Amino acid sequence: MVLFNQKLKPGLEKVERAVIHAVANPEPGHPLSLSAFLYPRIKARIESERRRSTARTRPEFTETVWRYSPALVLVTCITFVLFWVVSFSVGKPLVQQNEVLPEISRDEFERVVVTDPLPLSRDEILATIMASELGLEPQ
Amino acid sequence: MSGDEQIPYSDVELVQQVREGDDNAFEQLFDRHRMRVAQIASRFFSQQEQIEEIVQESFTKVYFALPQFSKTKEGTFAGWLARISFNCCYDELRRIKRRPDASAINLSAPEVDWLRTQLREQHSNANIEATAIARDLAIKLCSRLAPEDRFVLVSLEVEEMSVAEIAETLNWSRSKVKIRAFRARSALRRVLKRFL
Repeated sequence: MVLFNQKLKPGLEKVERAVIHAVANPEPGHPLSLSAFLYPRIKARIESERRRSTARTRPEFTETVWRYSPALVLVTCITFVLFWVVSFSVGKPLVQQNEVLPEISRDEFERVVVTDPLPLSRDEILATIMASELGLEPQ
Repeated sequence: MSGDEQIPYSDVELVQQVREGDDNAFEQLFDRHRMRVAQIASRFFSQQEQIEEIVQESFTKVYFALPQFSKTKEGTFAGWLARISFNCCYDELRRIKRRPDASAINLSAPEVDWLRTQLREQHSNANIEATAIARDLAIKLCSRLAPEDRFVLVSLEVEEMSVAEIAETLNWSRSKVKIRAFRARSALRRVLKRFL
């Protein structure tokens, strides 16, 4: 069997080569010819490719805007709501803190008034101190 | 003798003219190289429509790739075009990938005779009928190969491309090309052994 295979091997190589050459060569009696309209067809194809690539780039911008606009609108809305909430709550802490102020010690009181991030006017600070000294309700 | 005979432009000059928007120059390039592209396509495809499709695809790709063509980097225009054409053939082979079961192969009596004659004879006598039989048979046998295998075998055996050239065309490593060629030969021999 091995001997048979060894004898067959060079023959197989020859047949294999013949097969590959046969598949890769045009049919006899039919020389390679191309249609006379091949060039116009290529030109038409080039034109259509060009048109397609132009059409592809233009909607790309629209498509991007269309795709991202809901997210942009959502972010804008959230920002607006946050801004609105913050701006509404600006006045409230003053009252709340003023209510708390008399209950804290003197040193603490000073620290809270001075380091408070809310912009208090000098009059407001004075009024708060006076109110705490006299035991009055802050205005 | 007419004194106003024009000296034909070189490929590189024509490429430059196409880049400047001269479509006639592209037509000249097409006329000059279409048969070579058709010949490359005929190595892998037998039907006229398929060959023309490859020619169209190759020249369309070439047209859009012309701005990137550089003589120093790509070598000659003909070589660059051939590489693009080989790539188109490879893509098409992969696209129409047909690998029916090898057990389903049926060879006619003349086809088996042709195989046995090839095995016996030192020099094959190529008459038209025998060549036609051989081609039909070869198409049947090669349809059992993977597109990559077929591409590598034809490129090596018929186009006589080097391993390095095939590797460059397909963007493969050289060892991958060698392994593919080895596997393709083994696969083809396995099929051939059934009939010899």
